[in-house]
Amino acid sequence: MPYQQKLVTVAGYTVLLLTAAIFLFVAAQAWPFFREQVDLSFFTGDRWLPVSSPPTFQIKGFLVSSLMITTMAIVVGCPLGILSAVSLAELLPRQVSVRLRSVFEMTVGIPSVVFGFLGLTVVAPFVARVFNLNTGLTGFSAGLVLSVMVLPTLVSLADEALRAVPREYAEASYALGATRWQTIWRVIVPAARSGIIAAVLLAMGRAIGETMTVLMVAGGRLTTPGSIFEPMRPITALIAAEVTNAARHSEQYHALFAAGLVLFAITFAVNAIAAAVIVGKKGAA
Amino acid sequence: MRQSYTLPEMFLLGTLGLALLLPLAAVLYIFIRAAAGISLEFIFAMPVQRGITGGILPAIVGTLWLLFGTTLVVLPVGVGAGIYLAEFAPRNRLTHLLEMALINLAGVPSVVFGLFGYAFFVLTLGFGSSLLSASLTLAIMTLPLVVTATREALHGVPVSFREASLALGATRWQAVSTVALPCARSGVLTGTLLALSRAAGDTACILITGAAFFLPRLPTSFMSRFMALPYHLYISATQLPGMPVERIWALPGYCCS
Amino acid sequence: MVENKHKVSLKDISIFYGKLHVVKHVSVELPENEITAIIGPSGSGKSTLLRSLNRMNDHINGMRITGEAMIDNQNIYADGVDVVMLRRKVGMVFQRPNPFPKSIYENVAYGPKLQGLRSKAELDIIVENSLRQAALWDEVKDRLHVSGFDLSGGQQQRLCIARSLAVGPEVLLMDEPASALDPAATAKIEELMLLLKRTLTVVVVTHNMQQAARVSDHTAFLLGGELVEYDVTRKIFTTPQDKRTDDYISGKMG
Repeated sequence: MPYQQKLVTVAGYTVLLLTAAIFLFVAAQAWPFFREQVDLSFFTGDRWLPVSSPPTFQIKGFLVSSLMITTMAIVVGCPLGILSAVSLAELLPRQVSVRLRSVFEMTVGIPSVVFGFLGLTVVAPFVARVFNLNTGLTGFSAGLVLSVMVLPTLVSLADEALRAVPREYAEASYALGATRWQTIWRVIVPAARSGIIAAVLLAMGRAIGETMTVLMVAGGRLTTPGSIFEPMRPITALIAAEVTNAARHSEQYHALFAAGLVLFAITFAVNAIAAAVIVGKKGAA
Repeated sequence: MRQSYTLPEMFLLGTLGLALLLPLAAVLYIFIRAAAGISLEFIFAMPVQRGITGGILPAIVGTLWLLFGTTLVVLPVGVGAGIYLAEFAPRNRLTHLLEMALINLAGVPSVVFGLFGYAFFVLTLGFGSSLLSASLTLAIMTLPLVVTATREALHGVPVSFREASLALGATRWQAVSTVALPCARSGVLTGTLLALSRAAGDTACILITGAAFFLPRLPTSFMSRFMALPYHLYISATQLPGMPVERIWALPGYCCS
Repeated sequence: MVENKHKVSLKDISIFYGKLHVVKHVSVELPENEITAIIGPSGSGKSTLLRSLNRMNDHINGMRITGEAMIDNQNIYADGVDVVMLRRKVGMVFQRPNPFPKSIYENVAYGPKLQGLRSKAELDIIVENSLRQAALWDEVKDRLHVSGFDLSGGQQQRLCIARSLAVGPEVLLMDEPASALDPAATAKIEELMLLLKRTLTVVVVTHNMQQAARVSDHTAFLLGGELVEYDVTRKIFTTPQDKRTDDYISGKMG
């Protein structure tokens, strides 16, 4: 085996090692915290009091915030994204679709801090005015901004799934006298179902993991929000806001890594399901 | 052929228009607002008074250093791993595990990479809050993008090219390096640029691993702390009440471009 | 006519893809400086057999081969055989023209360059000779540096032949080399094959029976992985010994 081939093999296994290392290292930093935990109050409790004595670390509020904002982003983003993908894949002439696709790909490059900034200066004041709130820095505003941010992921993956449907299906449908509208909804979209579901799941993973936007727009209140129109702090924002202030090996430090591990586990699960949906589809075909 | 659309189909096209319009309008709005704050002095001068006057040169230079450091690490490892997966990986459980790891690495939130980088590079290895820690963290974060782009680009090269090369007496490595890789070049390049634009825009990672808000000097080595554009925008927007508005608006202008 | 010595001889070759038995106990000897055609219906194992002669099947997962494949009395599947050296000796032309996305010159110079030849002067000579041998020189000598893709299909295929010749092979395997070409281009390839056999041993897989009859000296008929009949081409097409051969060449079989 030439040495170049050995080098790329090493590079390949570096990816595997790094993934394991990230998980193990974050877990190792979280371990001292979990060792002290006797019950599930970390997940079910509402109080995050790092500087009181004794300090309390409970993350229900952050989990609920993450859930609310992600749900909002998906509920608003999905119809928009999937319908757009249908237009791209099935309605527009090829040349037009190709151009528009590259526009979507460009928008992936907009940094999340820029979206956060827009949320802060444009969306939040607008939301405050429309819903007559004291502050627009709420889960609702963050969810709205996120719903735009997940569009490129959603559209490109759903579009890809739709285009992967064999042309013969559509032709068979047309040959039976179906209209384009019927063909799209009764043949093409059902055939691309698993790819579309995977697209939604991956967009969800992206929304859960998004940090800067929610840090800037969601408002940052530490308690469990009663509704989406309240300020809140999702788990990603919690970590970003506090980790550099926590002394190494302090209880807060370990608790933040515990929160990070939970976040890792959630996104891991979402992505694994998405991968399983895609692989399952391939296995069935 | 002239396309004609029914009413419900036009509705679908409308959603597409909306989905395109929202991000585009955002970018356009930023550039319009940014125009007022941008000047040569803003780009080329040092910040004064916690950035309220003066320029943002250190943030621009800091971001360039970060990109340089990230590229140095992510390019060889990412392209190498992509080549391995596309050309040499045997079909076995270990390779399957590797593919799974790659998918998962791509889905890890940037703040978790930040946590890892903080605990591992900053604290355990003792690199401190520095360009080195931040670049390494960003390299790991963008690794899956480069690996996937390389692998896909190589998959796109027709098998017949490799066969022709092998039939002429090329070794497997020669077939890859002289034919497949040159054909895949543009795909690899696109993936790398995408990865770098991710690295340039990322804030969560660098805010944990070493970015500073106000540091009116340029970085001197990879062990320096540094300013970076996206972090500068974040702090200016959220934690500095006295910041002149047009100065803030100018920042995302750079972040986007 | 004096029988030439045998360049390639196969003894009881069987090839498996996983559990699939694709080529079954084929034994045959191919004479030097002749064209041997392998004919047979789709899926009869023709290409697989051909590709075993320069070990292009090695890269297929689950491929297994038994028996002996000798070229110049050396078993090419023996331990310690350098596949790279083997392929320099046994060149291959594929069904679809597959020039690299490089210039005409670079396509032909590719093989010699792989072997480390750097001298421009030597490369120039090899490129010209190979293109002349492939009957392409006159058509491309003024545009050696345009892309190989700019040529017509037939020219591309001759470029691929030139590319193979540049490595200096002794055997040339051709896998349906004209099936993607029009009749005029096909005729040129066939003419070329007749020229090539003066210096090379040619093995050609073809679907086209007229082609086999026109160019080959010997013909092997493969069916379901078995070698049904092997003989001088004229005999195969006029007085086949096996009924199945007769059925196939007279068009009673797919």
